[in-house]
Amino acid sequence: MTNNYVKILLLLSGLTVLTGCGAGAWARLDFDGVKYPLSMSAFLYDRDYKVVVKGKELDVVAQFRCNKRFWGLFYSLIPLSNDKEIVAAINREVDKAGGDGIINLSVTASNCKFNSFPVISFAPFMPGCVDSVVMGEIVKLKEKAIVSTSPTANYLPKERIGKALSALTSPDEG
Amino acid sequence: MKKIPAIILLLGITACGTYPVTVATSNITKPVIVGNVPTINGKPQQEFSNKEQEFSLSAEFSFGSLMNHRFIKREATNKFDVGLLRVANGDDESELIVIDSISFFGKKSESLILPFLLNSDYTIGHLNGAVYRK
Repeated sequence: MTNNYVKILLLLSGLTVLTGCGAGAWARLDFDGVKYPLSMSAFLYDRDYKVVVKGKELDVVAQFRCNKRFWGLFYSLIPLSNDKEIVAAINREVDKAGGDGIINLSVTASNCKFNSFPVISFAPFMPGCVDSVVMGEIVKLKEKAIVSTSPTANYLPKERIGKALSALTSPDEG
Repeated sequence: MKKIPAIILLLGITACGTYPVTVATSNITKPVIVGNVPTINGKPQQEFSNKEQEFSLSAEFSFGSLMNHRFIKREATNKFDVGLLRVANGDDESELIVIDSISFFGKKSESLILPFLLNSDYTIGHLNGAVYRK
């Protein structure tokens, strides 16, 4: 009786452990084609590589969230999806919000319920999937920060230079 | 003798559910650029032309329904933070951290017997990047 019990347990545990093949998918996000800078921290670079930070030089103008399901075949070996939809969503949402980039970018991945089909998911031709959520904060550089960081922004406009020069050369002055 | 298969079986049974992994950072005090646009207004990356170091970080989760989503999320974030802090040189402004790609993997394996109970869930998050210098 005890031997049978051990055998059953061994069989069950063996099946539990030796279930390496099952439905699933993998995905790779390269973000090729994004028009705006993305950062995984709360910091970005302005056009002169000066570090700008949320709350000081950067204002959060919108939240970004994009859900995408990635599919794969042959136990996830062959990917069937790419990140083009996510890239398009980033460009579209930042455009819409009038932002300059995205900070605090994060990607959450989890198994999708489709992988849980019993027995069928063992078949290599059965597609598997992984759900992903890409999130971040769309930020805009404050006007003040743009003026102070632009190399030409502090130069006087031509008409003001003219006035200043004429004031200096005027005989009425001093 | 009886204990080992019983423990393995228990691990299999408690593996039901989905466990997400979040690729994120929270304690890095400098930009961690993702993709190929390093600055606002898209200035090319020519100032940081020297690739100093390539890095690869990952966090993975499988088995263990005792861990809830919140715990896992925090754990994954910490793992990436620790890895990035190791490659980043403090607040050194002469270096640029660029993440080339974020990849992830989700897979569910089931036993042919009691498929609803004996399954395992596996999720992995992965960061590939490099540190550039002026």
